[in-house]
Amino acid sequence: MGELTPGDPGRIAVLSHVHPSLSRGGAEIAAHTLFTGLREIGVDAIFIAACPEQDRARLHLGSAHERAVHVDAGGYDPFYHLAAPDVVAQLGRIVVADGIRLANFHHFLNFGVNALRVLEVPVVLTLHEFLAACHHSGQMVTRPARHLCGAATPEACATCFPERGAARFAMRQRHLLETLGGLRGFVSPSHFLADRMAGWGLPRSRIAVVENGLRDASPPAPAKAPGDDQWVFGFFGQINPFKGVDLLLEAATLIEADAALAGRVRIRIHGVMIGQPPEFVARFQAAVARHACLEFVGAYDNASVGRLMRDCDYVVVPSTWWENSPMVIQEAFQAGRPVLCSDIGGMAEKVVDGVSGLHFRIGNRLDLLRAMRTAMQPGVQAGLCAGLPVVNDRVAMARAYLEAFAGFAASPPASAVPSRP
Amino acid sequence: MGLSLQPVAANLRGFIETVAVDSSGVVWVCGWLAKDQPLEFPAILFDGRKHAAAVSLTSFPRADLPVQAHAVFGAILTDWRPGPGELELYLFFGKDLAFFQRGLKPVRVLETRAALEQFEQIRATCDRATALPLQRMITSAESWLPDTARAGGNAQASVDRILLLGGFGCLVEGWALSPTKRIESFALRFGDVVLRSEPLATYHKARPDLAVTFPDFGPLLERAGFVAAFRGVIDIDDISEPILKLVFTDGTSANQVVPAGAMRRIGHSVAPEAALALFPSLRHERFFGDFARALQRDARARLGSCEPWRLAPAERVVVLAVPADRSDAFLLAEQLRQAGLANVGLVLLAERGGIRPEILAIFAGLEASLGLPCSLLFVEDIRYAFYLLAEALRAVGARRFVFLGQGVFLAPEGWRTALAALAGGDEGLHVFVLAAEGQAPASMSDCFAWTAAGFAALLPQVPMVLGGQPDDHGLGRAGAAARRHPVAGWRLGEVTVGSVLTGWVNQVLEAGHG
Repeated sequence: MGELTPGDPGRIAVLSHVHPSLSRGGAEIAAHTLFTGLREIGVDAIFIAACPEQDRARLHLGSAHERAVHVDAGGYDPFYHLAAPDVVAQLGRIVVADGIRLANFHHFLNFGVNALRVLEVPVVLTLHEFLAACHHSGQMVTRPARHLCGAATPEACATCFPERGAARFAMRQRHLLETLGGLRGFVSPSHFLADRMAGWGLPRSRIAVVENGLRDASPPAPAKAPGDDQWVFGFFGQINPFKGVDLLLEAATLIEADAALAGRVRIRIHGVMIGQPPEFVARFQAAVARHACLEFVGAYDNASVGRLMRDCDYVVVPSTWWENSPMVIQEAFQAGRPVLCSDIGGMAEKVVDGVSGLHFRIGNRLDLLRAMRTAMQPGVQAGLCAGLPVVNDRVAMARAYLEAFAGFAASPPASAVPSRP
Repeated sequence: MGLSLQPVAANLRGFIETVAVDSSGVVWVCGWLAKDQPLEFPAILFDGRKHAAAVSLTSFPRADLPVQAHAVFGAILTDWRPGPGELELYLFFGKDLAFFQRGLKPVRVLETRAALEQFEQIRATCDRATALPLQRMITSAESWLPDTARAGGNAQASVDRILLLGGFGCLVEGWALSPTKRIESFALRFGDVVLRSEPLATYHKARPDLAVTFPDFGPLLERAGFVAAFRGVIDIDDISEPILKLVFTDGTSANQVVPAGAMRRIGHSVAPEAALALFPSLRHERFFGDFARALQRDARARLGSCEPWRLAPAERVVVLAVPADRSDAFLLAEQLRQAGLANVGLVLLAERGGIRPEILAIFAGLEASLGLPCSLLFVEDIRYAFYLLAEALRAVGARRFVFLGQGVFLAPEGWRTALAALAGGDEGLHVFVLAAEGQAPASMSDCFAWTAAGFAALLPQVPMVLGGQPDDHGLGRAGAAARRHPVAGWRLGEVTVGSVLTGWVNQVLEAGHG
């Protein structure tokens, strides 16, 4: 395995589990943003993305510095996260042919952890959720009840997946920790995620926390004009079972029943429904039809998210899973809009209660309503706008990553043995 | 039979309209006959060939017939069987076989059940004296005519489940209601084989669920349900609709065809545990020993032999039972790539069903990446790979081997130990005791190294136990000479809770072998 040299990163490969031309999830956007940021500050970076075979025709590599690794979903094991030898071989060839000195994976999905293990260069893994620890889509939410999970232990995981059993989950944990333990370092976009993964077994000393950056910076909008008593709370993102849109529907019911709020508040939902059961879709549509305060706008283009957020007074993030470092929060801050969010995980870390937004108890419609009432108090929004942090752009993100890489180079792992068996 | 048979038109005395041949060979006929002719007589059935026949008929009125004729139903004992429809059929009888009945062309061939239904419909209008012998034929304890329940004292019966087990017989659950006669026992006919219920393995139980259908049967419902074991050898691969016989204390019987849907084959369409629903104290039943041994024989028979997909001969081999779980199979392949295999052959035993596509991909990947002689053999049930190991070793010409059972994973140091034993000079039995933290006590047969000859000599002495993962597979018999190596490794067992029945069965098998 090659060595990292502090101050001289050499050619860096940023790897994404899927190319952003195929999917616009947070991890792939963050990876590509880092790639563009690195190149902007003069680092010789290339971008390598996995491309599922069935999506070959849709793939669009944006420049000569981008590569694709074609993967067959049928050859991937989503439990131990092992890819077919062909995928590993493709990656190996690219690494050699391009003279890669360091590989920064954003996700191991599609590439497999076996690829991370065998590449002949130092590997840094950026964590985007709990997938290594949690087989339930890395959400740390129980199955099927969808309660928040505090710790992924073999016994707890076997409760979610009784068909697999605790022994197999112990094997999974051992296998992943052994593999990941040999990596040079980890980057987490939040302290929350870093701590959780350290609790699971990754060496905390080798996890650097680097905030994701936004690709394009734009000036924040001014705070709401005094005297304007019409309030728009915007939701942005996928409408999937973990994003807490149910809570907004329930809040709409309460708002409609409150004469003091009914004419002053609008909840505007931007996004597409993914993985929602038909009964939810029906309930959602009925609520939108019934409540004047509820507005469903539908899908949006990421390029216009800043403008859409500026049209709102607050952005609401009611997720019922932990979240790590939701891009929507950064986008809201970038747009100059404070955030109302569930009081857990990465949301609670990124939004400082009373400073850059307001927390409400997760899943609690009454507390959400309380936060909305507070948000509508005179002067509150202006105060929160003043407390918004500066959001990393791609260049700041790239510089922070380089610093992290240098740190890993300066203090290489004593051994590949993880901190927990 | 030397007489010349001539169907002279003036001697036509009736027609045969339908025929049916029951499972005992009796030909049941229906048609019409001139009233001046006898109803019991010797005859010749002629369809181009002559067949001796003894005819017993009963008569009944039918509106469409002329006044000189009556309808007839009856039985003919003969070796004649319905042939191609274009053949003329005659039944010659009387002095010099001058008279005859002609068969309709073609004569209609009925299912026995349909013919008996005909009889049931006209029985009340039949001539009583001639109908009674036919009735006795149908309800005789020796009769296997189907669906004679109504004829047999108006009994009603049904079979809910038949659990078949080759080499044992079957376990049956059903119900029977007989308002006038007492049921003494049961019998089941499968093709040519008749099984009788074991008196000591038959019990009755209440069937309150029948009260809706049979509201007037009161106390009979208290013991209408029955469960019984029927012992004997049946050809399970050739079973159509069996017939259940209720044998009454007066020597008569009633038969009931069992619908094919009630039959299940243990080990094939139903797990052995299904027997517990019929006999909850199965292990204490007198037949349990035979049942256990039949289960074992059945499992062995279904296991069959290895099916070589690719053979790459090698003197020293690592043999792995590839897990049936897709993910575990992927993990095993990954660990093989890291195991440091060199100067050995690799033999994968894998299940031919389930994840076969993945197995082929994994095998191709290993073959390409390891640069070793790689063999792949498919087996019916990977849990029993141990019992096919000697066959696999012969197929690849191996002299020494290391075996890893299904779900066994070795840590790198475990692999080093196992491969060192394979390469070393000590050709005795080496048992690798999986001793990683969290690993439950494992079997000696989970992972071991030996010579093919040593193992082949031992295997016939090892009882094949159900589930494929017993205590030590008999390696304990050679265990005194075995070298035991604690190694870092794990065995991922099946997640399903170990069957209690399997444990009981294996106790019987082990005891019988000890």
